Amino acid sequence: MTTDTSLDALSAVPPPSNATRWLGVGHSDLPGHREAGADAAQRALTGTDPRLLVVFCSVHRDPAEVLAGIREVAGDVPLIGCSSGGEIATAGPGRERIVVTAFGGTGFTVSTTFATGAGTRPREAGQAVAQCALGIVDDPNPLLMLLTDGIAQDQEAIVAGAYSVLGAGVPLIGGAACPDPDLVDFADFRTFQFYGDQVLNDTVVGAAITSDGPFGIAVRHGFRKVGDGMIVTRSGNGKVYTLDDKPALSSYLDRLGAPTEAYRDSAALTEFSRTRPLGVRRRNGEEVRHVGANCSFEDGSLGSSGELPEGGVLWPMEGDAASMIASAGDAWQACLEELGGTTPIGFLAFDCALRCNVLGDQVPDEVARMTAASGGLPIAGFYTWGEICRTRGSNGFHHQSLAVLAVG
Amino acid sequence: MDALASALSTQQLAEFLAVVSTVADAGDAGQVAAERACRALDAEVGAVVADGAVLAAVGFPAHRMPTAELVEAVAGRRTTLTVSGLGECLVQTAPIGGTTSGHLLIARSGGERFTVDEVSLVRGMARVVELTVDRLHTLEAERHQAVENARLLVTVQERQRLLEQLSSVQRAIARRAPLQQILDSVTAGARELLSGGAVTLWLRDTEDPESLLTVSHSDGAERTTGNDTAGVANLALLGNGLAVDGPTDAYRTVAAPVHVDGAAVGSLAVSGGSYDKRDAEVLQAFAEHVSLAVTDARTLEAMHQAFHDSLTGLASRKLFMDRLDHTLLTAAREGQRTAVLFVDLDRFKHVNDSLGHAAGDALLVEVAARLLGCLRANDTAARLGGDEFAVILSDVTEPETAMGVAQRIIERLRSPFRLGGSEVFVGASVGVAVTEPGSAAADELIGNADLAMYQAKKDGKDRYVVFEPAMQASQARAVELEADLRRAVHRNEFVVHYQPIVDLRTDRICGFEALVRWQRPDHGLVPPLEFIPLAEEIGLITTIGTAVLREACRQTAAWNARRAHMGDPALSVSVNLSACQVLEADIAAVVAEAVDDAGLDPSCLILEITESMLVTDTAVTMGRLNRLKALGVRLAIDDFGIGYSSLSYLRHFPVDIVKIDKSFVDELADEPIRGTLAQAIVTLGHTLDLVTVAEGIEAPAQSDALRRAGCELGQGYHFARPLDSAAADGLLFQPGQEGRQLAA
Repeated sequence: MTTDTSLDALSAVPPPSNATRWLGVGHSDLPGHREAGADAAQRALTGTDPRLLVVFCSVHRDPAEVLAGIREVAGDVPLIGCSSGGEIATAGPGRERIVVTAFGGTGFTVSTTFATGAGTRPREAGQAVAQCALGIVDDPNPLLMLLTDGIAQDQEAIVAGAYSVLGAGVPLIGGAACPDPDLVDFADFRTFQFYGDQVLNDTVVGAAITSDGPFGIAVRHGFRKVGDGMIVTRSGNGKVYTLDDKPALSSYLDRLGAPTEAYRDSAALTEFSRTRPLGVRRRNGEEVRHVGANCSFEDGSLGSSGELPEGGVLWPMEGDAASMIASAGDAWQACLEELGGTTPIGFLAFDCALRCNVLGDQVPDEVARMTAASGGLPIAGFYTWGEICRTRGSNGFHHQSLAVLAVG
Repeated sequence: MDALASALSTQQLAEFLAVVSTVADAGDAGQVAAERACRALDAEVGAVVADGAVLAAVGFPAHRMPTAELVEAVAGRRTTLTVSGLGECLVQTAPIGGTTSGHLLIARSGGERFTVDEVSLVRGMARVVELTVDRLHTLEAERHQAVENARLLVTVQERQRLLEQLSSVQRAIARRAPLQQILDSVTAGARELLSGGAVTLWLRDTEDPESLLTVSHSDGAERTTGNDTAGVANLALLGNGLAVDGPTDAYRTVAAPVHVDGAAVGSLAVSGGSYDKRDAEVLQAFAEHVSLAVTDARTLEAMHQAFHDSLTGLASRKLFMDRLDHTLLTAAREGQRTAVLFVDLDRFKHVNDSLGHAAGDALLVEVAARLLGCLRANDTAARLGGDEFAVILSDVTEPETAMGVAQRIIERLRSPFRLGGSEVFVGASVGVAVTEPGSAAADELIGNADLAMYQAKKDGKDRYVVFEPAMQASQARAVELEADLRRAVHRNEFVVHYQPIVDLRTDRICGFEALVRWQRPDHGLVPPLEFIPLAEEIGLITTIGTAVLREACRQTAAWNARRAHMGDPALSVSVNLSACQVLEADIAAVVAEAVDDAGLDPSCLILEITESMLVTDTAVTMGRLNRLKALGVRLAIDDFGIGYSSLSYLRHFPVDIVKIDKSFVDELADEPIRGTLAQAIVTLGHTLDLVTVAEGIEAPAQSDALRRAGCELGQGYHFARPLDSAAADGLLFQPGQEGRQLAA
């Protein structure tokens, strides 16, 4: 674990005095939870008039203590945040870390809110949080940042709910709070979200932001299809039972040449499938879905995140460290292009925790690619349990992807 | 047509159906439909509009629903909607029939127009909404109308069965089941839901669009249907809408049109019962699924045709380039080598010319099969055109691997091919180019393999050559030569040299053969062998040939004028005509003009052609030669004896002179058989009343032997080398040279 924060310190040099907006990122690896929260907040608050704090806090930390530490330093600055499976800062990736991003200056306006019921009434929760952005739909540069409880099953419904309220004019960005990514059993998963001075569960927290400068958002995954597409011939309840009229689980494993243990041991299956998602054909490419924990050896079914209706076509997908790293470069380039030539002041990355399984010991290389693409500007991010980025069309929830926000 | 988009539409309609048909409440169905339709089409706006009201919509802020604009759009009065933050969005609508009687609307940003497939998809989705809402309304009504429970239950079950049937058909389409099987399942399914009426599917005969073909019938083998059914089917097709007819209310025929790319191409008809509006809707739903299936099948076929060579089934050039790009990308990532092999058949033209195009085609098919037999399953073989093939070898560990494959290909293609009962030997030349690990430049790799293949041809064919950078320099030299040659034509850098032709009985000059030379700047005098083949290849030979002809005529006329003044007989001049010149339609006019402009007696001009010209396009050649003869010029066969020597050609064509090839003269003195052949040619000439001229006489013994054999004329270094016009002038007119006996 690194305690070197010199790069962040550099990136936190105050902006020119005539600037109306600034963005600071601070991180801390101090062992004490409260101290670490205070330390990260202190490093992030590099200018006057802070408007919003976005906190990514390791799932292994005591969230209440961390939040108390932050608020000791930042007072009652509006705050949203969530648990993370790993953290990204300008200096590189880390574990058991706190990363605080501060948006400040008169060029930003911010409104935050939260809604409960992410797991049981996901669409309504999305709709409720989106209400905070209704007042900014006519602003030239609006944005709604959503941080959701990653344990909630129907993340797509949360995003669809937000979209149904705001329509197409407000870009959506964010991620799902991450449980401990090393756990295998769904029943053991725990997450948390921050809103103001509260630590919450089963919620969606959101920040509606307007800015004098543009926002750029982009999402990339870096996986590639393996073999020909397979037709979903029987599915339901979040499971695919047959592909091409053959048991779905074995079809998936056969296609990918899975080891024998993956056919009978659920831990081995989870381990195997975490880096080999499913690709669903869409008009503008493939949509990545991760293989769910609810696969069954008994009925040969394949669990999937999101629905996979009968008649659909899907592919097993695979990627490697090189393609993951390349996709980070692509995402950065795409979101910079969205800025239309405006120089950014910082970046936020929402990077799926499962991509780390593919990256292995090259996780730092992916962040190095982000850092290189950012030209020394502040970066904050976390390893997520699902990514939100709606640019085109109405769908905005992604799996095993990297979503990036460039603040222009 | 975009193949992926078409297949995708099929899939997305299946997905849409699966989701929307599970909605339990009619009020929610519209919202779910609008959202799912947006998602399927990557659109931002979706709405269900009916009776001037927006029943459901997505894509606008909750408090900013532009109801008036949406209503105008579904009424066809506007084609775009303005969405806050996005700007103008293009609109596509489709009517929803049944109890809802409204429209499904989709709007998308980015200016990308909706394709035909997408329009079909929206229409299909609208139909699914209609069926779903109808089913849900029916269910709702069931709860409120207990007295009609029994009848409604049947209706509900029918709707459910319809959805199941349509879902099953869509799955079959998505699974790419055989088209006939899908169409049969449509007619069988429609029959089941339409009270057992006979259902027939008619499609336009693609070869005779006036006729309709029965392509599927619900009664299977019983494929005959009455004229009344055919008539109604035709009405539906021509009117592009639902058609109904029949003798009684209890015996009706209803037909719905089938579309491909928006045009009616057939119709689906049911007959034998009394059908209401609901039945007609069922029929239309099935007809639209026929449209999907036929469109999908035609798309697949078009896709296959676009990416495969229709004769051999190998990859086309387009697919080859696509695969090469892919292979090189993977190789760049994985640090692998990729090899490209260019395979060109050595004697394909000969087979095509001698055995015909059908045999040529059969040969190409067999070559493709042998080529594939030399490759691994993941390698790509393509026919790039004509007799040119190419191969991509991925993940080549060493260049030697590619060389091994090239050698195997050469050996397989060297074995005889059996074509029409005879054995044909073709052979191939192969160029091999291998990348360095991880490098990726498709054009360069292809160019290198091409160069290597040409080198293999140059080196004698029936072999492979691995690309070396030096070949690029050689290619550059060839390109430079071509550019210089083109410039030479404009700058008139060609000069004519004259080789004396001697009367062997007197050793006196009786004429000249005009020979072209190229005075190439910085290179000196270039002999014809080094540039004439290129001039023929790039189409300059006619221009050069005409210039030589005119200059030779002019010079000879000038000499003859002076000789006439001195009382000497006129000289003849022989000018070579290339095959291209002979086949020019205006060759006779060109020659007549050259002779006229020079003031040369036509009988002094001898045009030399080769034997091979007489066997190519015989009728055309015969016509051209007769017109030349009519000018009064004489014709000579050049290099006689080395090619297609045939008595019949000499008999049939209007030839005056035979020139015996130098190879016969070379060994005249010391090889009895060759000597006999030369003598035979002279005898043959005499028999056919032709003058014989021996070429390449270099020794007195050869001249003596030819004279004894009766050969009239000769030329060669023994008498004189080709001379420029000044030297020839000196030979003819310098004091003491007059009437010189050259060999004396």
